[in-house]
Amino acid sequence: MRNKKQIIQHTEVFRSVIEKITTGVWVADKHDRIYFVNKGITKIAGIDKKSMVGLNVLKDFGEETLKYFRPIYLRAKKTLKKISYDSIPVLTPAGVQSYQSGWIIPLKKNGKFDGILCTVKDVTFQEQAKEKFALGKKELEIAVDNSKQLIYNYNITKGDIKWSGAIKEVTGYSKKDFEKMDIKKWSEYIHPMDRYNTLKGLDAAAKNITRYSEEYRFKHKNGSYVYIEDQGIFLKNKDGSIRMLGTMKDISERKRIEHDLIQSNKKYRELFELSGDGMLIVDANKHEVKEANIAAAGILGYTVSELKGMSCNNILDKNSKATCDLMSGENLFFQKKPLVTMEIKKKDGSKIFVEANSTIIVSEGEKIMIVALRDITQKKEVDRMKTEFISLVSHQLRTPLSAIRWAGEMLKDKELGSLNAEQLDILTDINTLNQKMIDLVNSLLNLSKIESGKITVEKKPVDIPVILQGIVSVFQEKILNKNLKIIISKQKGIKKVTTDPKLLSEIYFNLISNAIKYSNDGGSVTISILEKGNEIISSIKDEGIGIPADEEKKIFERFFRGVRVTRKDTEGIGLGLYITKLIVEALGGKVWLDGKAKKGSTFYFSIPKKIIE
Amino acid sequence: MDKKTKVLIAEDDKFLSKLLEKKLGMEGYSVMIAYDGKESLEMCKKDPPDIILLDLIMPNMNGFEFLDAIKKDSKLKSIPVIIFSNLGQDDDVKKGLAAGAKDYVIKANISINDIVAKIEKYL
Repeated sequence: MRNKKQIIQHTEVFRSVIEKITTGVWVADKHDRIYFVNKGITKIAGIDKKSMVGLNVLKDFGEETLKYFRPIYLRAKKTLKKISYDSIPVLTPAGVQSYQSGWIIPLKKNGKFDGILCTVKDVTFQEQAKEKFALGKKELEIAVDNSKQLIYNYNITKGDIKWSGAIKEVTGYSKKDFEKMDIKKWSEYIHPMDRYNTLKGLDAAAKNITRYSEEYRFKHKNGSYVYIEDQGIFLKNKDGSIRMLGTMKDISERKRIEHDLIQSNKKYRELFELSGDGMLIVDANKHEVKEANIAAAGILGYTVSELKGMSCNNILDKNSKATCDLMSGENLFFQKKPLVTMEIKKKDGSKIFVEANSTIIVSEGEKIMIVALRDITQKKEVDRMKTEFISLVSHQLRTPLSAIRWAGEMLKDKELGSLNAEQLDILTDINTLNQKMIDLVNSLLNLSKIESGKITVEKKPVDIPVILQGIVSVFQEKILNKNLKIIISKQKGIKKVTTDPKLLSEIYFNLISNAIKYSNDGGSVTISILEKGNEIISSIKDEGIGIPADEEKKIFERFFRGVRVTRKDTEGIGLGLYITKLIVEALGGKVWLDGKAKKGSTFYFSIPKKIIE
Repeated sequence: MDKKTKVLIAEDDKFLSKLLEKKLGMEGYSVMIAYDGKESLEMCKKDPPDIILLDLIMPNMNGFEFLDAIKKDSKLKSIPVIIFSNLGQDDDVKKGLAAGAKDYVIKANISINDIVAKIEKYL
């Protein structure tokens, strides 16, 4: 049996504990009058102890509060059983809206009601947060449902799944179609090739309750596969169940572009690697090799890895004009530079001839130069042999031709005795044909000289009218025979040009010779000289047989002879215009045919006023 | 003319040298004929000509070698030499003129009458 002292002591302990806790406590007597309040309650209610003690619970709490509180209080009083209350709205005496939770505990004395002990906890903050959350959740749900991404919330343990509205768009199926879903069933829609890796990825994430990100092909309701990016997280709920929260996105378009990019990169890479021509990708500023293909390595005698990072100066002769032509012009973007031929040293020191051209492009903000190389050493050697052959044969032909020429001339001059009319006639034919042979051999020799690059260009001041007069006088006999009219017109003010007089003469000679040859009797040949910018443009116009439109492009080709020409003259070999073109180009100009000439033909050629090397 | 002008024809082609001999003979020259460079040099040493018509491609000693040899000989070096060849590359012409020839003529491109004119020019 406890003594009085013990009871007092217990009461003291009880009081001090009650004072210290943050939970509010008040006690009312059997007449519902509050006679004790702790410190906690004064904080919750916002009033002091004195004002609270003596209040009648069922009268003074205010109607708002009592609406909720009275029924619970009366029930506890009646049943004598403790009842909890949760989040009832309370208007405190200070006039602040709050929410309170707690217990109503009936006190008994001898089994009869003897008052109420009430605990009070202010849950206003939690309640407000809940309200806010409720609002946010609703908005979120709307957002989720309307998102283009398919969002899912799958409770694996309970087996229930929630889909967002995009399910139809992404998979073709409705929410109802996939109301019941599990990973195994889902995997049946995954492309067999992707199934294993996807399941493996999900399994690993599930084990560690962590994030996952999978890409797989999913069989859409329409039968085709769509690429899905499936990202999410495994979560453990409070109740221990496991949940998968994630999104699915249709990334087919991105995949298609990726695939195309990879394919086209692969294609170009292959083209680059397997090209028969050597290819170097060079930093346009530093002139350092960034990439080289196998052919380039083969041509230069290095390995691909040796070439990478190498300076172009180590490969190309930096002092040669060809190298300068190839590597210069850093601002000529996308402009393919003309082919240059140059001699380069291989790794082993041996020398080879290469043909090269370069293009500068901007790739990812970097200026790069693509250099293409072709080993032409063998071609050069063949060219050299061909040239030597032509030269030798021509020499061997010219010796008997000169003998026939001189003998014929002596016979014709009757230095070896007199000839009768018939003999003289035949002799004249022999001499004419022999001269044609000499001209032909000379043309071939000239051609081999020009084609082998042995053409030497001199620079001298040249007076064009003087040259023209000289050439016209050579053809005087033919002009008279055909009764041709030769008109030379020169734009006023054209001074001497600086070029090669012999080569320029040859151009005029060939074009004027053709004009005369293909003119009809009584026609006229007009030679005009014009100045245009830094160029002198000459035109040679005749009224002769003309050139059919379909032959225009072939006219300057080697050994090409026009249809009308072969009908008139069977002996030419089709080198005149080809040689003319080569010479004009050697002088830095261009030659072309006026395709629109209605009568006869008009040839034009340009040369720079001052020849540039 | 008290004494006939002596022309040495250094030419391995017999028909060409025969024609030249005939023509130049008719023009009043005294013609000496040699069929290779070596023979030409010997002839020059024995009886120096007034002018030489020199072919380039010849056996034993070619035209260039012959030209070098007479240019080293103080007695012969002043004799005018006209190269008569069917080699006609720019390099050949340059080489011939640099070696001291007065002119370089391509045989196929000159008439026999013009040969006489050339000789007259350099005598």
